[in-house]
Amino acid sequence: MLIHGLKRLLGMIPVLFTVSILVFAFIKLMPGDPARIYAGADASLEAVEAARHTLGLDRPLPMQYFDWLASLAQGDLGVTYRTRQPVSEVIGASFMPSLWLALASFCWSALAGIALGVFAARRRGRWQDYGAMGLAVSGISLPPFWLGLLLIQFVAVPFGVFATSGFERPLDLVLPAITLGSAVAAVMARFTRSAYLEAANEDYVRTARAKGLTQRMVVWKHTMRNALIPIVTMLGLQFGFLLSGSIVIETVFSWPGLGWLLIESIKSQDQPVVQSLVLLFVTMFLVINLAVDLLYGVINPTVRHT
Amino acid sequence: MQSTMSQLHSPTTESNPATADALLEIEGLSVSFGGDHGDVQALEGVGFAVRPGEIVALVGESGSGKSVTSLATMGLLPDNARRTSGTIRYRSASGECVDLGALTDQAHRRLRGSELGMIFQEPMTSLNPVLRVGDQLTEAARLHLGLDPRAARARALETLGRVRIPAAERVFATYPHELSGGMRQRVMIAMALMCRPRLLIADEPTTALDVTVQAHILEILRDLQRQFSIGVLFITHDMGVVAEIADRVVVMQAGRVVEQNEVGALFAAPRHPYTRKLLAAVPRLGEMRGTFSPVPFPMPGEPPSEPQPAVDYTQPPLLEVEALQVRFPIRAGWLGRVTREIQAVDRVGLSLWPGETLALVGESGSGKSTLGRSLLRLAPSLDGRVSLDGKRLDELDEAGFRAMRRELQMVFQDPYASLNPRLTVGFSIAEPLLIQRRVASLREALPQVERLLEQVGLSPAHARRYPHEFSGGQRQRIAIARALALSPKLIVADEAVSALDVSVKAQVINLMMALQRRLRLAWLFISHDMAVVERVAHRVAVMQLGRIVEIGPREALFRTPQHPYTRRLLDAVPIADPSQRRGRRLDDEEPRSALFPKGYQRPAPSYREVGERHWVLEDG
Repeated sequence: MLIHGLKRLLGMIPVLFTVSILVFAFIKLMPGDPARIYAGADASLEAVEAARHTLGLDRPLPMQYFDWLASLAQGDLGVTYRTRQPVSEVIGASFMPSLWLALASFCWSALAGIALGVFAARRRGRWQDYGAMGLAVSGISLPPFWLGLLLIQFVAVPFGVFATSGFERPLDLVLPAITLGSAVAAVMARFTRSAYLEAANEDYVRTARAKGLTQRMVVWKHTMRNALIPIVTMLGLQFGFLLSGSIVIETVFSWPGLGWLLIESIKSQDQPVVQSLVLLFVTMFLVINLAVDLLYGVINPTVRHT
Repeated sequence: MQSTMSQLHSPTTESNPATADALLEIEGLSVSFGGDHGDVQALEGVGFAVRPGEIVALVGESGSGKSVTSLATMGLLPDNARRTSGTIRYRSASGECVDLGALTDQAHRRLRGSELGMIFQEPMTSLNPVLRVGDQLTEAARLHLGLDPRAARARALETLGRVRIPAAERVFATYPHELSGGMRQRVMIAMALMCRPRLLIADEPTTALDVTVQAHILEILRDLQRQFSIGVLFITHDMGVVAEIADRVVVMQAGRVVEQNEVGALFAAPRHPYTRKLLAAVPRLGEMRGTFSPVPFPMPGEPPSEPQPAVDYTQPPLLEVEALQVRFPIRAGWLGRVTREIQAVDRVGLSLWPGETLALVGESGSGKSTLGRSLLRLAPSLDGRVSLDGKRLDELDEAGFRAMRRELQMVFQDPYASLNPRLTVGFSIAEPLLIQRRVASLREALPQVERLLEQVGLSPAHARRYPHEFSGGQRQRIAIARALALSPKLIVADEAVSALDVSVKAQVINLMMALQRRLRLAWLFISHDMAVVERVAHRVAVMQLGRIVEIGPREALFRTPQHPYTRRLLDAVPIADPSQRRGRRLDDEEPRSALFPKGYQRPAPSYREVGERHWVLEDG
């Protein structure tokens, strides 16, 4: 188990390496001159050239790549071209708001999605089922920015309890988390419903009923423990989506998170920040996947010890 | 199920002396299933009784309604089922009589698991894979009897002992997938017995098990029924098992009870034609004594068949296998290294002549299926020589072997899983012809497909249909037609009839024999069913732990089995004659496994000739 985890961890290195090449190449393909941005809008031609030299942008591309890789290995992400702060500080400041948003969205959407899915599955074919699944389909179909704008317009503005933008108090989390989580809740509801129905058809559920167990034990202990195996995998994928997929929502709510930072950095051609952010998103995704795989072994005894 | 319940309080019948003391009395029970095309009547006026301490066998083929009867008693019918009439009277421990069909869900639940126990057919899927055995054993006792964890555990260990599970403590802490099929079924029985039920319903509890394990389980059930004096409703399709265990027999056909009687009287003088047909279709071990060639099953209303033509053993054999080895690595430990190997096939040698049927028998895990699969390269072989018609198959590369596949085909056990549900039957049969470029197009293949369908007793028009429109027996015929498409010389049939009902089984076997007569086909017939093997085989090879322990002419091997393992296999076969019921003592040893340290070489097998073409492994 431990070796398996370490192996998987080492397996991430070639993936990250490949991604770093791709990210670097794409950034260099972007139009515009980063040296000019670094030097400032009114800088003279000489100042721009001087900036190009300080940043090493006049060196051949492979050298630039290896420079970047070398400093990356030392934990140095470089400085932003816009404000000349260390990139790690900028990203660090944006990371926590994004994480909080992702966690809040994840918690409510996972619980609500699973509960709604089980509810629908247990009333399969009745109006409650159709109602719940209709709700889920609308959750998937509703564009998040639209839901966000609606919430700002009809909840935040008239009541004044929740902020329309920014992140100062925990309460500010509520509206963005609802917006971000609704699609995930909907996906989880549909997925849970089908996973539950599949497990409920299994012979061991019939065995559990034949033992005269209470409805609650049959549903939560015997059926759900098994249905959880695919659900956990799905939850992991969704969490990755929440962490990196909040660009639209962070923009709508002016959330000082990673998505917002990414958009701002792309707009201002801040190459070191964009590079580091993309690499960070990939790393987070890999780590979450690994965590899910390891968790899978814990909840599914038949794949343990392999 | 709710609306019809109240109007159905049928009048109490006059007290019948035979059933006055009954534990369970079903009367005039009718159940229908609501479907998209209207209601389907599953049970019609079913009635019988089970007394305390009595084993009643409920017999019939699939679809006869035996499982629906048991599920109705347990209150486990699916939501679309409705009881339209009849009562299921049960005398509970408190002495009061309740109609199980009219109970509320809550009241029924309280009886389930405490007074009514049930064992299901599939031990592999009936235990919850994510919960430990101990948890699954104790939960009902804790709920119904209010035992604390310690008392529940003590009772579970004691019950595991009663179903003769060695090392109960260890089993208590395992997950189901760590146990063999036989052990899981014992756990299932222990689970049903945890609250000491008064009525036990066993739904085909031994069908999925090896004969030797089946013999154990039957013996355990009989012992327990005597010890606790519980009533047992034993559902089965196997008349041999009925003869072994039942006190009374209830025969069901198409949702009705057609005959019921004491077991001896029923076997001696079956009255209903369906009962007679069921009994006639039961292969009886020993029936073929003195007959050297296989003989097709007699069919009611047809003249008795000729035996199969004798095999000419002076010819060179069609298939020759020498020192074939297959090993499966087992990874374990922190590093996931291969530390042990399953020696699934260990230096096996055998020959098969044209027009001959060689049966390969043994328990699950003996390596018989792996041997069959490795001949077709469906399992990787480590070493050994395989020649077909004088050509060395093991030396061929992948492309060369593909050309040889037309000589060598296979029919699998599960007729539901081995046909692609999205392809028409015609396409499935034509596919080998297309792959081997025998025909250029599907259209060109059609005449051949139609001829093949006729050859296996189906209609040419069936080519356009999809697998789900056919019954299990018909599907197995389709699988045989597919195997025949390339006119092979040898077909490996891996438990090809094991999943079929008795009468269908007999028909498919007769078809296999007819094809052998007509096409001089050789069959490698892999089976665990000794009675069927006695019918079909010219010669028999017995496998244990990856080795052939005995091989010889079927008549000699069945009449004078030489190896102790062959004798054990034959002894475990239920005898379809209640007057010959034996008081067996079976050893409780768990079957050994062919798991050895990596690279371990067992001593080379050596054989002793005990008769003409009859060899026995010398154990040493």
